[in-house]
Amino acid sequence: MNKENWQKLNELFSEAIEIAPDERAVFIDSIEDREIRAELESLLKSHDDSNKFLNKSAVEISARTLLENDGENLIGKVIGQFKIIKEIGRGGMGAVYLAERIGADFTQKAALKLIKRGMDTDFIIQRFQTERRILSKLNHPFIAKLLDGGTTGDGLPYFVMEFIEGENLKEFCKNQRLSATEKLKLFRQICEAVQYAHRNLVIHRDLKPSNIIITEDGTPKLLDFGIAKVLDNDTENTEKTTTEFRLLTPKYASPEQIRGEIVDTQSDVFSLGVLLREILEELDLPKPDTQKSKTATQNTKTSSELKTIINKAVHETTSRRYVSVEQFSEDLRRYEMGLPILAQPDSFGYRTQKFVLRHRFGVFAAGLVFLTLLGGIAATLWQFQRAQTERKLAEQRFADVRGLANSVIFDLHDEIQNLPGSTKARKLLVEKALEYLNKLEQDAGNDAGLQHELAMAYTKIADVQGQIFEQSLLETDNAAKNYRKALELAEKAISNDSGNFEFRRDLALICYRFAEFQRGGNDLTETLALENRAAQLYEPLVKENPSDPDIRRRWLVARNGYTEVLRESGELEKSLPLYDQILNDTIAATREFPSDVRLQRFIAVVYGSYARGLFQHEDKKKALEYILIAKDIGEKALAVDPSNTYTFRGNGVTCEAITKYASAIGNNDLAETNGLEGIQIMEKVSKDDPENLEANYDVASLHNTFSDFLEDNNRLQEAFKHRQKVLEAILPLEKNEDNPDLYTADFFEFYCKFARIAARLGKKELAGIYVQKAENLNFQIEKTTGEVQNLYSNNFVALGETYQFLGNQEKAKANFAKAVETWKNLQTNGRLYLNQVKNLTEAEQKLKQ
Amino acid sequence: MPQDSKNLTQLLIKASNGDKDSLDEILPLVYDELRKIAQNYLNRERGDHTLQATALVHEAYLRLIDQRQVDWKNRSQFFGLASQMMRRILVNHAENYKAQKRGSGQKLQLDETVDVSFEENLDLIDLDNALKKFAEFDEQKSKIVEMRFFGGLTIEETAEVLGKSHATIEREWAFAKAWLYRELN
Repeated sequence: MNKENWQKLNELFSEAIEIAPDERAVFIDSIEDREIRAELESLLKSHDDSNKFLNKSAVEISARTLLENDGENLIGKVIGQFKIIKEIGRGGMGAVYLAERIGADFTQKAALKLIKRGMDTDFIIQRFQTERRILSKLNHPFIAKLLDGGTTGDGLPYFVMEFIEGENLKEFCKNQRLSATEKLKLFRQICEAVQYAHRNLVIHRDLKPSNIIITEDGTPKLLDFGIAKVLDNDTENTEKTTTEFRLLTPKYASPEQIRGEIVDTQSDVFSLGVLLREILEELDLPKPDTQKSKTATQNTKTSSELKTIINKAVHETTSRRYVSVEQFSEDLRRYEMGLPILAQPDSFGYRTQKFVLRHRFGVFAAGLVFLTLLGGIAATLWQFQRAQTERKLAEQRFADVRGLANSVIFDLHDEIQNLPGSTKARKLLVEKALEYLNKLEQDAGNDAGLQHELAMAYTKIADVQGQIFEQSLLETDNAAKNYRKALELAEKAISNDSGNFEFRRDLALICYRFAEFQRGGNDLTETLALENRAAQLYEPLVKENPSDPDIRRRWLVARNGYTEVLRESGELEKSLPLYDQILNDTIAATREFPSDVRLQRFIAVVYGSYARGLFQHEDKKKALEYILIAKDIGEKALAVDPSNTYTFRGNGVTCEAITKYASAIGNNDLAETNGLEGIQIMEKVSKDDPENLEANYDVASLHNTFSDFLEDNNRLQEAFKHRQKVLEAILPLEKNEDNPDLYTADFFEFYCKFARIAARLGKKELAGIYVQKAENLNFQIEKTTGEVQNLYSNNFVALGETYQFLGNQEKAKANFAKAVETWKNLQTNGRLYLNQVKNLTEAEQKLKQ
Repeated sequence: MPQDSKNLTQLLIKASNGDKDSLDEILPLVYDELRKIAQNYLNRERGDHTLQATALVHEAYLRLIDQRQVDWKNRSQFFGLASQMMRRILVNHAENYKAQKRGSGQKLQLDETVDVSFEENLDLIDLDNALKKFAEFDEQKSKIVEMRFFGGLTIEETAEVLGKSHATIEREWAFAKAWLYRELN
């Protein structure tokens, strides 16, 4: 056929095959050239018959012949107890056959691995035996089991393994359309198998998708320990294998492996990292298992976390890679749970940020999750004396748990304590650590050290729950319970080791903290006793350690606490000389330890306490002088440590006192600037940490004091606005069910004074409501002590005045009478503060009118 | 990168420069890789074999070639050459296999217990001869068969290599198949 006709034939063929076979006749008949027509007809017939022709590629067609054993056909032959069914694989040194156990009642499929003739050199045989030995050691659900082994009649070594049917890792992930979360889960199972091998001193060294088969039920099985290495001294020579035979798969091999260096378990970490990256590559990254509503930005962030983990696993430098598969796998688990991952530069800032973010979900384990990682490091260090090692490991683990729990409680907690917004986080942190310590205590028996640690942990918790003058959650019942438990444990620790300086010091500390907590309550008897006990416990310690500024300060703090409680209980006369002593001793101590910042800051506290006593004793000028010194110290301290909420709030309290004292001596400018400054400070503290309820009280108190100043100066409209702010600030406290009477005295004051200003401004209805609220507060005045009784009396007067404005003379009288009676009682017991004498006189006059 | 793939790449470069003998040298190097492909292929019980085997062949190409050494003008040249190489190797293999079986007195039939399909009865040597004859009429269309059948390329890839449209390749492939089928029966 000439070129022209050939071309024509082609064109006609193309047209014809577009027509259905039984409708082609007309088309064919129209062709004039007989040769072309005949050729076309015959080709069309072939076309219709050849739909299966060349459907498979040449490789597929040749597959069987390609795989037939060179010269030696083993199919059907029996080796050991197994009959060869077919060849299923072929490696550099031999082939793998599907085999079946003979003579058994059950059908057992197996994979038989046999060295190829010609490859049976000493070296290959040695390696082959190594693999067999390795498999015999490993018994794990995710590793293919060794069933049998031996030498064939021809002297070729073989072994038989469990036959695994399934897809390799990559295919499985793809075909089953696994979600990223499922992939991670599967991957961590694979890690488990590798970890197991590592613990048995076996490094796989050839982890790749084709060596990991996933069975139908989703179980991964690790195969091919062909170039595995035993971390065993007498097989060091297997090292050669990597360089000599290059049997590894470059894509998954670690850089050190490719360089032919000595490899360890970290090499497998690398390969696993590559594997994980590969199976996740289609990349719909899983969300960590926190809660549903996640913003897009958060997802981006977590995806980048997973990348960070993988990057750490495949790091070129072993020192920057995960130390163990356990660590790698654990980090993935942490990622899944939304916990902070290790792969991040492990800075404190990161952990805290993540922690504070997540604690809202109530899932917590910061820091403690490191615990499970510790076992991972052991794999590389594992020694052969199992029993001994396990015992050592248990001890090690115990020490680690304890160390970590403590570091969480005492380091991490202290680090975040003064950060704004940390209240609830601190609580969770400490509670979780406590849980761990409690478990340890059960295991540890009568261990004084542990009892001491537990005592301190309980103290921390109680502090978080109850400390009025710090950021706290105001769960006062729980706090009291935990302080008592702490005391009990601390005493136990001392009974086991009475000379221990730390134990004695911390028992004193617990007494002091407990007392400080109780200062918020009504009954000051136990509080006073605790303060006293703390001071008494410190005294001998100070004598034993004269050059220890810390102990000295704690002692002074406890003495100041005792003096404060004494004054608050009404013993003002007794307290003043004690303040004087404490102030002198503190000044002396700062001279002795000029570089001790905490001691210097404490002077401000002493000046503040003393000033309050002086004010109550009508020494207004000296009170103002001292409180201004306190303010100066506080401001300097804040300049050094601007993020310290404790100091910041302290300055607010000082401002409040200045407002009061300055107002009392007629220094209105000073009163006004400090009142406003104090309000600003407290509002910032509250805004920065909405969980901190104590801050709400502070805000209210500052507005209240400022309103008093305004009202004294007849600035009634302004006063009214600030009193409204008081009510606004206490709203969350009114709702706090945990401790309804913690603020009763204060609420009474706030309601009475609001009612009074409302009444003064003619808002009778509003005044009526708050009078009622004040009346509804349920308290027993006789159960309170000096300072609080004075406070109530002042407010009975305010309530009486309100009734006067409202025209209810009877009720007005009754309240004045209540004030007079209370004050008189205090006077009889020598507990009437000097600055209340004037108030008593005024009340008596009102009563007469 | 193993030594082998450097050699292989160099041989392929020679071959692309017209040194036909170098293709024969490639055979032993590629043989092991082909066995792996075959094994993977046969291990699969699922459908879609063509696609699978094609993917495997591609994977093998990439594994076999040291791409850093090669300044391929484009993918097309590479796949064209690779297909030619595969044809040589597989036909060579079939010839050796036949000779070996004859020598051992065994039947040529592979495995009687297995339902040997039509395709597997296809004699690659016969097909190669028919394809040579076909090339005398139409060199271009014989290339299509080489790429599709021996090289494992898809219609799309073949179209790309030869710079023709998808539809053209499909028509010409149908024609070549019909012609070869008639020739072999």
